[in-house]
Order: sequence, then structure tokens, then C-alpha cells
Amino acid sequence: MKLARDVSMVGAGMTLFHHTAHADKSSRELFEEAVSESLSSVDSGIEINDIDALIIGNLSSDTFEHQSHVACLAADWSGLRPKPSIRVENACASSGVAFQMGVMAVASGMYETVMVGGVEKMTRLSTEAITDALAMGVDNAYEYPAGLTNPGLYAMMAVAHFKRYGTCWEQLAAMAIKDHHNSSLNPKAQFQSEVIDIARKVGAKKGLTFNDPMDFLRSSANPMIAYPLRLFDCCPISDGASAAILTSSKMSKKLTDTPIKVAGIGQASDTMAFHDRSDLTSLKATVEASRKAYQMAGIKPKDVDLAMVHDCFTSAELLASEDLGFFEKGEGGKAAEEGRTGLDGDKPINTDGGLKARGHPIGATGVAMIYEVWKQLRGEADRRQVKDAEIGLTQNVGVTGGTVVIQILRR
Amino acid sequence: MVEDKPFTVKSYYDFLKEKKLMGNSCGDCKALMVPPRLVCIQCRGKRLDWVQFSGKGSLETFTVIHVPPTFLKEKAPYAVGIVKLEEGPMVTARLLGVDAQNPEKIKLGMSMVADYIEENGRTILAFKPAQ
Repeated sequence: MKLARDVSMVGAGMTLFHHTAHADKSSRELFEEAVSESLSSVDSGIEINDIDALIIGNLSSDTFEHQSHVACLAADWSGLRPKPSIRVENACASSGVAFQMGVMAVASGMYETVMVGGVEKMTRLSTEAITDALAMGVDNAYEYPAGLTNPGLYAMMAVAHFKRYGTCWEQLAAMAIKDHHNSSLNPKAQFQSEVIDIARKVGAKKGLTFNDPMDFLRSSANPMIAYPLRLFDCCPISDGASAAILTSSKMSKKLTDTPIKVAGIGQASDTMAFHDRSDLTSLKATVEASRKAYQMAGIKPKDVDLAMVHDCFTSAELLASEDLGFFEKGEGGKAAEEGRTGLDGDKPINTDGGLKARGHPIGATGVAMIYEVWKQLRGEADRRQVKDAEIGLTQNVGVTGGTVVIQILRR
Repeated sequence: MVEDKPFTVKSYYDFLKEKKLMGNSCGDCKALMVPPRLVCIQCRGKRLDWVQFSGKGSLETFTVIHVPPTFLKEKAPYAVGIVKLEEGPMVTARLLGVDAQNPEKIKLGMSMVADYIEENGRTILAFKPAQ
């Protein structure tokens, strides 16, 4: 597959992702902030009137804020009226899919320049109500009544992977420690602290002493959520928004000297219920969507300099690192433990801290991954910069991989 | 008459009430599926018939839920798993008769049999260790 014309990215913006900082803001203010940063990030400047359409990812402003029609709201309050606005809902992959729709809209020639992004304001509800809202993403008829939750499903992937490949929980914990290190260097991240710093803080409160991060992660201070996944294996609840500007590659050269080219895109679906998968240790939709994206980009997994993968749980990062072809099946845990996915490893993963530590305002996540790749490929990632990064990949997943969308960006 | 029932979520749960685990088989490619589908999971054909499953299988994977959805608040921690039926397909079910407090003692591959529990006004599928 090939796009009808080349598409590039010329701007990106995102809010801080956080669980308390945005208490007094709603989706409209959050999204406007992301749009505003994305417009001002365009090197040669761009007017909001130059944007021809908005495509925005959002899981459930209906439940979280008693507000549907969020695409209209976002366009209106960002100054995009009367341009067309479209909302995309593919669970946690909503804005990854919105990005892909934006690429296709520009490639088709229908629009020259499109704003894509996502927003989710979750924390107006209680944690219990948020958990219930997120559980709507599992199969309502055949998974939910059994008492399954999102962490429960990813826990079952971990248990199956442990059994088949001998992966262990300590290898998952290594991913959480790495993610927190990366997010400690990221001013947009929800948790800007190392696991050991959190351990000391929690320890001081509870009168406990932790000698190293693993000591803390193994303790009761890191409670079980769904065996074998503990609190630090899970992404947090977050508020936030993200935005990116896509335009034809021809136009992009007038707007910046360093456009980021959309080299490959791919999307796939899989069974709604996890039990209908033939393999419980792999997301087939990741394999299929990335195969298409690699093919379009004309590259192999080994050519990817860094990747943002959908680590809603540590076990998700484990599967992704294998399904994307970075490591042999069964080797993902070992690779993480050996530091190969760290900032100075041979395959840096989630350089921004990932969903785990950067935060996961559902609808905003896919384009937040894009934001990090944009920063990295332009050499603007500051203390977390991966040297000579030229090709970046994002993998955005809906629930257990019923939707997977992959983008490959190139400097 | 079994043949008269449509392949719906409602029919599936109506059968569970009678302690029957029902799915369907494909008249074209012979694939089996449970719960029943409208389009064959394998060949996409639509010549489907009801078929009853034995309710015997083995534990493929599981978890123990400590943070449940609100409707199960009183029951946590509880175990949930995926059971591979002897006929082939896999199903999600609550696990009974296993020690949710000691999950490392729950062994994958163990033989399981179907059980049926009443919860929130309907019968749901569960599995327990055979014997």
C-alpha cells in the first residue's frame, strides 16, 4: 500500500498529563492548550485558518463529563469553527486512529492541512466510577459478567507468557523502573520521579525502609491489582490533551526545514473477546498492523531507532516488544531486564515514560506518543534525547488488541 | 426446540440457566464456537447450527482480581480464567474451588468442569477443578 501523496507532520503539542493538576479544567480548556502549542511549534508559523479540519480521539467524554459532541466542542473552543470536526472512538487507540484518519484525509487531497489530536478529562468522577467506565471496553456480554477488568486481561497475558516462555514478574518490574526513569526527564509526564524516590516518600509515610526499587515493588506498599500485576505494573488515571498538525509533504517544506514524514501507517482489528484468540501471548493485530506499516515505510524492525508502545500494563510492553519484531518471541522480558529498551539501549522503548509513567488520558494517548517521536526525531527531547534518532514507531492499542494502529515517522 | 432459538446473547444466557453450555458449529468448515456467533469465526460462512459443549476443559490462563468492577465489590479477590474446552474453543469464566489467596498454587493445564452460578439476576458460566 502507498499513500496517494506524501504526508508530513509540521507541529505538535500536548498538555502536562496529570491526575490532579487539571482539576479545574475541562476538555475544552485542555484541548485548546494542546492546539495552541502545536500551532506555535510550526517553525515558519501557521495561522489557525490554515487548518482545514479537526479529527479528535476521545473515549468517553459522555461518561466522564456528561458531554457528547466533543469534536464540535473542541473545534469551537480552539478557534477552528467553521472547519469540519470529527470524533474517533476506538477505545484507548482513539487518537492513534484519529492520526491515521488525518493522514488519509490529507493524502486523499480533500484537505491540505489537518489538525489531529485527542483529549480525555477523567478525574471528575470517582476512581470507582472511572474503573467502571473503562471496563466498558471489554466484551460486555462475555467478559464483563465473569468479573474481568482491563488489568485482569493483561494479567492473564502475563500468566500465559510466564508459563510458555519462563518470563518472570521481576522482568516486568524492570520495565516500570525504566519508564519512571524516562518520565523523570520529561516535563510533560505525570510522574516525574524515579521509582526509588517514590519508594522513599512512601516509606517515610509508612515507617518502612526500602533499599532499592525492587525491594519496594515487591512489598505490600505496591498492592496487587490483578495477579500477577501490582499497582506499579499499571498505568494511572490521567487528564490531558494532545495535538499534531499534518499537511502534504509539499506544503510542509514551506512551513519548516525539519518536517517529520509519515513513512508508514497500518491498522488492524482482532476478536473483541480475548478468549477467541488462538495465542494468548501475542496480539495478532500488532503483528498485522506493523507488517503493513513496515512494508509501506520500506523498513524492517531493526531499522527502528525508538518506539512508543502502548504499555497500559507492563505485560503490554512485553508483548509489544516481541510482536513488533524487536525481539524474538519470549525474549522481551530478558531484553528489558538487560536494559536494551532503556534510553541508551539498542532499542529504546517509551522514552517519554510510556502510559505507565507519562500518564494515560485515554483519548489523548496515541497522539502523545506521536508528540514524543516528533520531539526525538527533531532532536528536541532534551535530557532524554536518543542520539541520531531517524526513525520512530508508535503502537496504540484498543483494550486487548481488538484495535491496533501503528505509525512510522521519519526525519 | 433448540433449532428455533436465534444465535443471540440472550439465547446463550437462557441455555446457561438450564445448565447447558451452548455454541454453534459451522456447516461449511466445521469450526466450533462458543458463545454462538452469527458469522463463522473461521470461514465467515453463515450455515451455523446449535451445538452443546461437554463443559470439560483445561485451564489456559487466569488472574485473581483484587480491584473489581463495582458490581463485584463484595466478592474480591476472586479468580477468573480462560478455559480451553475439550472440543477446542476457549471461554472466559469465573473460577471456583481454587485458592485466590494463593494464586501460585493454581496450575495451568489443570482439568476443569463447568459450573453455573447465579449472580445479579442471571446465570453465569464458571469452572471448577475436575473432582
